[in-house]
Amino acid sequence: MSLEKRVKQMLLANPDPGKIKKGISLVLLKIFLTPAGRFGTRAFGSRSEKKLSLILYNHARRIFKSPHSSVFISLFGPIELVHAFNLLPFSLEMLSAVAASMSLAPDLLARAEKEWLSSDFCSFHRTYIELARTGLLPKPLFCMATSHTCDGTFKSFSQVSEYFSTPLIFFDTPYHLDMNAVKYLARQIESAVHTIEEITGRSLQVSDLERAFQNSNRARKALLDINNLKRHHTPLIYGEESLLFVLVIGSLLGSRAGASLYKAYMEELKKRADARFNKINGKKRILWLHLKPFFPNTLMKYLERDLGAVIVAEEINSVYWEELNIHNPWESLAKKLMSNLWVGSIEKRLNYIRRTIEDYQIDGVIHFSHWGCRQSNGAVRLIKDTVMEYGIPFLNLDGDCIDSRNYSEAQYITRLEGFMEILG
Amino acid sequence: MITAGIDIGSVSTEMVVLKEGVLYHSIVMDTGPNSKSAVEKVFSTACIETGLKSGDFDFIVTTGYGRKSTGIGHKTVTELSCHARGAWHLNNDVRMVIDIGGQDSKVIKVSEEGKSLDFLMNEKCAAGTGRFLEVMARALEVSIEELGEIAVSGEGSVEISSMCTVFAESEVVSLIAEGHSKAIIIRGLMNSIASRITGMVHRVGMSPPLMLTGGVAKNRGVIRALEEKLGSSILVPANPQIIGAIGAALIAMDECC
Amino acid sequence: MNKPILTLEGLTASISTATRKGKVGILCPYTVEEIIDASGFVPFRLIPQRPSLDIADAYLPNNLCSYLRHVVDMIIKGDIKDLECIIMNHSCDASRRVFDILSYYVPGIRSYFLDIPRKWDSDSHEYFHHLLLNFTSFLEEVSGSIITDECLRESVKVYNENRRLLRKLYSLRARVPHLLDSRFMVAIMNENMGRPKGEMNKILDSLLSQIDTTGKDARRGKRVFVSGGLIDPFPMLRFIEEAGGQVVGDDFCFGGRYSSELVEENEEPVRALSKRYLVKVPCGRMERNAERFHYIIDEMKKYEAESLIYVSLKFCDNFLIDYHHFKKILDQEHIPSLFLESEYFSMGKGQLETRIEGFLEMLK
Repeated sequence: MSLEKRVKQMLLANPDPGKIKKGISLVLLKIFLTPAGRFGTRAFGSRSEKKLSLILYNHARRIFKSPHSSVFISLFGPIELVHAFNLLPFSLEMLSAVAASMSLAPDLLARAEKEWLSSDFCSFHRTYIELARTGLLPKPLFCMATSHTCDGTFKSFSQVSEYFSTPLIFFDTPYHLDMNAVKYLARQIESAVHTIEEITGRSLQVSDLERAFQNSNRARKALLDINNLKRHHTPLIYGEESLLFVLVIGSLLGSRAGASLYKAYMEELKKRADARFNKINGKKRILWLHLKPFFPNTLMKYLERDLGAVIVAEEINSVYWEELNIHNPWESLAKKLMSNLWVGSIEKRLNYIRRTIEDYQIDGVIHFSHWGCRQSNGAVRLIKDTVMEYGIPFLNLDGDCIDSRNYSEAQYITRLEGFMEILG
Repeated sequence: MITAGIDIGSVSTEMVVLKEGVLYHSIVMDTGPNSKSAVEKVFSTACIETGLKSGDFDFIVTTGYGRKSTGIGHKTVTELSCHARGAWHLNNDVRMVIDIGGQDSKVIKVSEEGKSLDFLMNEKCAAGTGRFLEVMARALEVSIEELGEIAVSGEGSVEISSMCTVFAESEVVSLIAEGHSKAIIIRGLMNSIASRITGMVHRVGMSPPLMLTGGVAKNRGVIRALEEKLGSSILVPANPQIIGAIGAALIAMDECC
Repeated sequence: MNKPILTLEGLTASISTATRKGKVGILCPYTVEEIIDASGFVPFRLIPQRPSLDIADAYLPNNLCSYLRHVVDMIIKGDIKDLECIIMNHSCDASRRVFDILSYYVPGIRSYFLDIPRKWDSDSHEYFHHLLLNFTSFLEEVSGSIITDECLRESVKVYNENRRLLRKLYSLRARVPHLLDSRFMVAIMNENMGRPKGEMNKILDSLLSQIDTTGKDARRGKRVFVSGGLIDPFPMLRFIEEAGGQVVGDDFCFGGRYSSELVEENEEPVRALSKRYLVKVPCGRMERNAERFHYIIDEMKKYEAESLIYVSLKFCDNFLIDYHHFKKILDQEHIPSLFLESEYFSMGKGQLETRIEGFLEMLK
């Protein structure tokens, strides 16, 4: 039995954060021993992917080792704040993604359904609620959630903090991006700092905040450079791998490890560009919207490697925010939160799509409609019409990022092939 | 030049042979549990019935759910492109194909050159497919063939509120118990299918002229209900089940030249 | 048993509709109606009338709130005449997208998006106050005239009176549920959301005076409280009554919860409004949504309801997920409850009836 299967069996039969820590250490060791940079193999696409896995699993290990320093946060929240307090944040949504990649999600979701959790509800939320309830997560110091990206976030985080009897810090993200709204959110952030100081018993040091901001800004710059490199060159990296960046955004933005990871990726991709890298045979350049299925599957591999439709731009990796400013920290953080593409009206998203199609010579756009994601799927008609303005084809792919139970490979393959036939 | 198209669906398998681009022979048969043997069977039957040998075929394209299950065939093309091409071949004005099969349904937007421009598929849900009619025919104790004839025999229908086939079936049973006539119920069911399909059409974006293909296209009740809901007449070919295979055989010709 | 003849037609016959005012379409009770009223328009709740959804399918996926899909269908088909504009709130994610769809595809009807803070502290009041000032400017632009403080105060008074009358009606309904049955209550509450409140108050006054309940307290049958959001579950309520239940209370968005909390009449009106709307019994989207559960239990005790039927629209995260939490509290209080979910129109009659009958049979 493979290491992964053994770990999975152990986790489900006897949830124990202590044992999980040991399991993660084993997985870390395995990753460490796997050679990087063997391109085209099943192991890692780029050398940096190995580093990404190591950094993430190490971060997870630290959380299980020192839960009293850990914070469960929502994706796209003010994570730099948590790093500034020298605490360990991890996005619960991304923990669901990790659980899915370990094939744990079907069992967890089946259990959740017995507890009245409607299957109309997004599986990201259902999975991490169940992870908490089942005892697979350690008790964190506190939880932190924003009202974006969706309605389900606050409710799910309330459930999780209730199970753990930990405080929940909640940010109400306004819809409009204007000065009053920024100040409203900034005041909430400032007040949250006081709350965290009470919880931890120590005050926030400006030098620590400055450091977290610098790390975040460095990561941001590196990501901008990576995106820039992908604009003109033949594909330098597969989208399947790029989509893993979201795991880093959800846990390590604001940390030195996060900054160094993006820097490593940027340097590796720059080297490839300079060396006129041509190992990725891309027939078509694709813009990918939303996330991908995180459970083991061949969807992306089939699309990019077999059909040759390579993803050169991902919405989830867009740098939508300005550099963080230490001289106006709370407003700066507030603006970052509110600039997220999924906050407010559809405008920001449509503008991103237009700019990207123009700048990246996009041949076709794929929107992955994750089941239950109303803020994203509700807009598909508008996205489709926007893409059609450019005379390029659009594919809406219905699916689920976490729940593999309804996944039918044959159905995906027909749609992807049908899309390729339209692309010509 | 002899080309062929084989459409291996989950319920039925069709093969069309074109000689110099003209329909030479066609076969429709049940797929059965094994796609691979279904292809082999339809191919050997075609050979027997036409006197052709496998080497006589210049190019064969396979399509449909089981298109990759076989070694027979030189290329696979999705049923989306094949239906677009097949329908457009019969009528160059066609700009949208609605295909209602045994277990799935699809809507395909067709370009001026007979290529697929956009599509929407439903294979997850039985509502809006031939399966829906099968289930209801059984509940009403009529044959599927009779459903269409009874539907067009009059006017008036009852609303079937359930979206789901399973629930709709129990609703039908209740309606029978309440004393509604079979004809009224059947027309209600036709409206249900039409609603589902119309929703799909609007999602892709209505673009007439429309052509209806697939086994269910033989049902006059469905045709009438669809035309009413869509507010547009629909073209129905004489042999709606082989359109995918025709398209595949035509695409095979493109590959030859 | 002689039932006094109570019909909506009988009550409204004597009330003449003063002037034909332009309508402002609303969908959510967090839209501050007083400001619309003060602008000279009638806040008009958009209530779908037809089961068809064909057109909506062209714009929205079908795993999205069916109420909103019906509203989009209705608006695009042009079902509502004299619509000056539509106000959408930040009720939920689906609302955001419906606003986007309407903005792009129905440019002929102006739509406005009103954000609502999820918190209710003084900071949120401040921010909501700012949002309401913007809202007021928008309505001034549409109407072409300034909304004065006096107009606002007048509207506040009328709306407060409406709330008082509705609360009396609800108390009365709990005492004589066989008279004020669900058919009637739904008709009244729908009428309440289609008429200027000044007229409606006269109708309510007339209604309340006609019901003499001395000695007619009829506590029989199984007393059920129905909790839910935007769904207008008239068929469901009827199934409950047909199965021997009596609907003695509800907390629907435009039902029981609608009249919660009066507006301070001695304060500066926009400020008073921003406070009232954030302080009233919360709906599922608010940070303090758990208070709703305790409010429901208090109402149930007040109206002597023995059991709870919790209804939610499918795909409604704000209300569906709440039941998960609420059930634990209900179990602690030993309150039997039934959970029902359905689409706006297609309610699956057979399954609903079976569940409701089965539930009521279980109660002693």
